Amino acid sequence: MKNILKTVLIFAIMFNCTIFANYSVYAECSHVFGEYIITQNAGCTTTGSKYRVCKKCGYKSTVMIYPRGHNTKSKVVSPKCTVKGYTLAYCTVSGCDYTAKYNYTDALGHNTKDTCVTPPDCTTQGKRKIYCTRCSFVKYVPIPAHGHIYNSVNENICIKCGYKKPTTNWSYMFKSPYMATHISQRFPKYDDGTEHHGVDIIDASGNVDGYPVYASYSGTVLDSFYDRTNGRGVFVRIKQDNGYVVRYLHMKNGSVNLVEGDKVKAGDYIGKVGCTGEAYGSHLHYDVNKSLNSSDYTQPLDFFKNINFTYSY
Amino acid sequence: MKKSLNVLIITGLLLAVSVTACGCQSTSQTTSNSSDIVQSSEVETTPSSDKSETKLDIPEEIMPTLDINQNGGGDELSAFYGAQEISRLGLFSIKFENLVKESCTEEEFQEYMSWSEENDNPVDNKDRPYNINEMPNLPNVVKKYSLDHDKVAEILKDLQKYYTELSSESENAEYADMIYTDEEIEAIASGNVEKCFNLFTYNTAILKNDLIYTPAYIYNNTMNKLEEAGITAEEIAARTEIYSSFSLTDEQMTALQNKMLKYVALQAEKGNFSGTYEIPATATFSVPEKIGNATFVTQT
Repeated sequence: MKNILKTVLIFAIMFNCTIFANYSVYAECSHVFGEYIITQNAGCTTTGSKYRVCKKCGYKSTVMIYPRGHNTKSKVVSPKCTVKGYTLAYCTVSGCDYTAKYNYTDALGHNTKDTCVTPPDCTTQGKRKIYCTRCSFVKYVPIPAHGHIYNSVNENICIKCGYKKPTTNWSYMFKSPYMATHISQRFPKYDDGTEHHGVDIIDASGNVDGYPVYASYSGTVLDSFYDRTNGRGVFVRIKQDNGYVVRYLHMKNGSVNLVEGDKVKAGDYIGKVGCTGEAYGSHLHYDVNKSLNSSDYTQPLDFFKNINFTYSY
Repeated sequence: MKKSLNVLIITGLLLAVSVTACGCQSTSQTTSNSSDIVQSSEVETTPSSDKSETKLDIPEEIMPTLDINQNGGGDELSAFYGAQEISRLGLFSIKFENLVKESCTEEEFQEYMSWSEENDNPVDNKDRPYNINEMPNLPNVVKKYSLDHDKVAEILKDLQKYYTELSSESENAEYADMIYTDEEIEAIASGNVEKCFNLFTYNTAILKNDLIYTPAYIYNNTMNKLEEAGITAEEIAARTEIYSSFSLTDEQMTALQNKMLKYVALQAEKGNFSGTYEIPATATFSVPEKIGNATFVTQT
């Protein structure tokens, strides 16, 4: 027992001496520190460390250096034809690869120009080049043969190639609403798959703006308007004597004088081709409704079996 | 001797404990004092990444581009691009056009033609609301060119009579939609723009003061813009089914439905919507069944 007590006493005395020795040196010292010595630099997101030593007692004080955080700058990256623009934030600290993108702006889309490389003729395809003036985008698109062109609906000889149209019995068919015969948008869907109630008729070889439009059958004008909210532009709707209701859309402003109740015969002038309303380029939108009773559109080209229409797609 | 030894041991242990405690404290004080300045400045530049764990992450829907058919369009998407409810106010009969022509100087008529041609394509409004005071519509034209009240009323009354008869012959609802009411005729003929537009019920487009927001506007603009416009979650929720009938591509329709769902969810999270939202089956974005007081149910 005595031995144990002795040992404990000796240990206690030694331990206290050590504590007292340190305490007496550090606690009583009013430290005079030297400069910090950095042992590990802080990064943008990582901690560093540094220490300094008291010149009087040698006490070493170590502290953590907090991450500096990114020193960000930003620059605006302009949108390109198919790539969105954005603001790019990046860190200017050497070795830090932090970046962030925000404030996206829409891609510009191609600024296309369209040139005819090889013009089509009545029966042979041509070729056009669509290219972007900003980037290297190039696309070659076939131009469908434009079909035969006649001076008027009553003539049978093509003014381009001399082709002679076979004699047709018009009594059960509509007359062509005008001279162009190229279908740029088909019935009943656009090429993106959305609905299209009729056909869009253009002339693949040239601008059709101002072409006269004729009634395709005898009938009575249902109504005629300049529609400024629904995209139809200047339009005429005719209830034909055979029961069908046909519409002619996007005609030229000021070219239509028919009003509701007016009577027309097949081949009568009703207005001019234009691009009013939701139209991107002059064309005639022509659609055929089966009756006055519903919105039941049908294939307009079924009524023009004597005409060789050509197509964009 | 034993007692004195015990006292000595206890005293020694107590001293050891107290000194150790003091030493630690003084060391830590020194450390924190010496590094306070350095640390505080460095802490400030550290980016904060605080985020509430319960907040929903609702990113802006990326909307597929609306393709414009290069060579034309019809009226297939008129309810999407335009304001279907007010279509009567944008129908200028040839007789009305003639009245404008005879009531204006040549210069005024040319200005009228240019103004109306520049604003006759509803697709152009997909990024901006339809301003009832700036766009060519019947009451606006009557007001701008001081058209004769009685002449305008006469033209519209003729049309009213005509379409009343036509709609009795036809089951096609389109003709019935073209019948002007007496109240509309009076408001148009008086050039009372605001009254005219307030006579209609808006089930597809949304009227806010002088501006009409079309479905295409909702499609093309960010949720922030819709919020700025004052469009409520209730208004969006009430239109979900109608908008499902537009002839858009599958990809465009899914994006539109996702956008409407996200907007309603965002408003529900802010406490601005407390009803039940029926999520169209083709929407691909997922939200919890309950957000705030709102309930989200997937249509089957």
